Amino acid sequence: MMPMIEVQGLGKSYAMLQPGEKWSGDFADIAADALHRLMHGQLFRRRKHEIFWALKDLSFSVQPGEVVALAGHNGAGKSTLLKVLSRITSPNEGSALIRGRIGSLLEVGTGFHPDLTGRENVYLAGTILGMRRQEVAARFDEIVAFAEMEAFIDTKVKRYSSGMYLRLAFSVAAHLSTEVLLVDEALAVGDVNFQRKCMGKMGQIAGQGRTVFFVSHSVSAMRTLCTRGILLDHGRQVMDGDIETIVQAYLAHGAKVSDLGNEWTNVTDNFCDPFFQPLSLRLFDEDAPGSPSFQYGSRIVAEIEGKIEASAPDLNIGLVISTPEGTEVFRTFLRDTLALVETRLEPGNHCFRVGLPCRILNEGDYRIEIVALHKQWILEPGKGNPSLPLAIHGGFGTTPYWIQRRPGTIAPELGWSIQPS
Amino acid sequence: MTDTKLVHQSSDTFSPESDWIRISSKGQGIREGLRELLNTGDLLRMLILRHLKIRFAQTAMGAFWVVLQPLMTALIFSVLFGVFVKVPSDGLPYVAFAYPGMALWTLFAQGFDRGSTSLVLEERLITKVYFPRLVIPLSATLSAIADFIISTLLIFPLALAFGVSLSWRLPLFLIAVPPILFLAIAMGVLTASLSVRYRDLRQVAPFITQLWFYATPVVFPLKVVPEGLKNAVLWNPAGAPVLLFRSAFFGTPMPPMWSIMSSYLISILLLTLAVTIFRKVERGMADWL
Repeated sequence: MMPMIEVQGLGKSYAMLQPGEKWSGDFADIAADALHRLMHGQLFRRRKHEIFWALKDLSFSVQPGEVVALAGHNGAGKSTLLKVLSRITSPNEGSALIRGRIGSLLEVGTGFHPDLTGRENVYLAGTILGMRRQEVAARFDEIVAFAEMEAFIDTKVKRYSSGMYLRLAFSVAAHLSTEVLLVDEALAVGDVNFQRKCMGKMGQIAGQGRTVFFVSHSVSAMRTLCTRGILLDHGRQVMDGDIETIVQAYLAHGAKVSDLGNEWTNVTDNFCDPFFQPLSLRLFDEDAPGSPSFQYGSRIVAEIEGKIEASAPDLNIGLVISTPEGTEVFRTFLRDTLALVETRLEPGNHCFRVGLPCRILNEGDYRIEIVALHKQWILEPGKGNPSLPLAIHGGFGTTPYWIQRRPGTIAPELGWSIQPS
Repeated sequence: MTDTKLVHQSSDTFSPESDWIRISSKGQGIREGLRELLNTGDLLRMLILRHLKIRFAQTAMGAFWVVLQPLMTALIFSVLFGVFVKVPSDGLPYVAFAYPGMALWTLFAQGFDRGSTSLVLEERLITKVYFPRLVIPLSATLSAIADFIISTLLIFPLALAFGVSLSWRLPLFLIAVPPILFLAIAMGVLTASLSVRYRDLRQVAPFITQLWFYATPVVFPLKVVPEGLKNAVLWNPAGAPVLLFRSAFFGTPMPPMWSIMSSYLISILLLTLAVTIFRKVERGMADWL
């Protein structure tokens, strides 16, 4: 059969500005730049830009009805690929042919306007996402019922709670009827129940024989929804195969990231939120701050740096530690500490520091991610938050008793005693 | 490859070939772009509707504000030019003379202004979803038509109030509107597409509008223009439509036929140029915004 999607040699590059160089589009800056170059006698010399390939040499084809997971770590090019396929941005090389209409669900609430009613927004967002007016009309009741918004459909959206807003917005997007769908997992929104409903809906979409591209960080979501996977790394297509192979490769790939060090920094102004924007996450050994690796007995300190723009009395920040398979080991929060339980967090940059319990995590690879909430999740666990790999290697116990990794998920060292009985 | 043959074999799975999407570094052809644009009728309508709903929902007296702008400007000029300077007004009360031209000019000024800021304002949409980008400045500019209809309807009570009789040429006013609309779209699209890279250009739009206003016979009749400059005013693609519009309502002197034709020609050329430039910028738009 003819493939639904044929991608050949697709590449997308960006010209990176030199350090210190910026493009604000102001005439003053442009003039200043021209003057600077004139004085250095290089007005007409072409500036050398470093070319950064966000995607390079991608070639694959997808059969109708296939549900393909795009796997890869942050910056692997997953979102860029979705943007190129949905034509938001255009490629610099190669081509793609899509034999049908394409719908992209990259963000919840695209096209919503607060001053319009729910009904008006359903029609507006529906047409913006590519439906014809009649198609929206035909699905209108279904959309409203799925969002459970019958009672408020003629209320202005700005009067909605954020949960109501997200529910309606997701529902519009989920009822697109295009042959090909590009879905970002971040789309599953709202409270836990509605999230489950969102994932169910996605599973249903995947089962309808439509061709779906699914971007996710969650291994379990990939396993449930997808039949095939494509693994990306630094814009290159590393592997293309059945979902289990890809999941294994993705997990194995995750462990290698520890070469990159124990620090994450927000370089692109991502995760922007007025209540809390993470700036950096750092792990270090309190007894040997320069040491690149951790042992069983290391006193590991996690340091989160974050920016708060709006005073947030209920802001809570924490860390979630999980295994490479995605199983959570534990989570810990700022407000666990009695002295900080009612502390108001004022605007400004803050540094949050916590000592991880030593002699508890077993030898192995973990991932530690920043989570934050203010009435609702700002950074929800497992949703591609800033994270670092955390590898514990060596030093199986204080005593020389253990000479290899002990069985069990955790390995706490407890205080035994012997009493005469 | 004979793709077309294969389509017939599996018509259930694949939508008609006209719906297929070809993505390449070369971008889409003119025919493809045009077909796609013609397919976005629903979206264009929804976006225009959104402009209007937002505009009229936020103000209790929506329609009143629409009329206020051209009317106030006409009143100010009638004090300035009609009372102080005593500019001739083709035998009409000055307000009645200036108002129709002002209504038509406001269509241009508003359409231009809304179009020129539209792309930067809709940054979120552009970076999150695809649709023919031309719909954005187009819907912004076209939304000015609603204001124009309301302010044009006001000409009738105005004529009654000032005791001016309407001309038998009335239907001709329809001929005066398209060139102004084309100009508004062209200028809006042009500034919008350039302002994606050069943000400052948005500041230039009102400035151009102001200069252009005084080069157009809105608040003065053609006959006060010195002989040597008359042709310049008539070559101005906004000049003839304004004269024609006023003449259609109140029977003031008609602009020469050639100037109406040149107005159509120039505005259509400008529109073509604007759309060509827009298509060049369109492809990188999401990366620049």
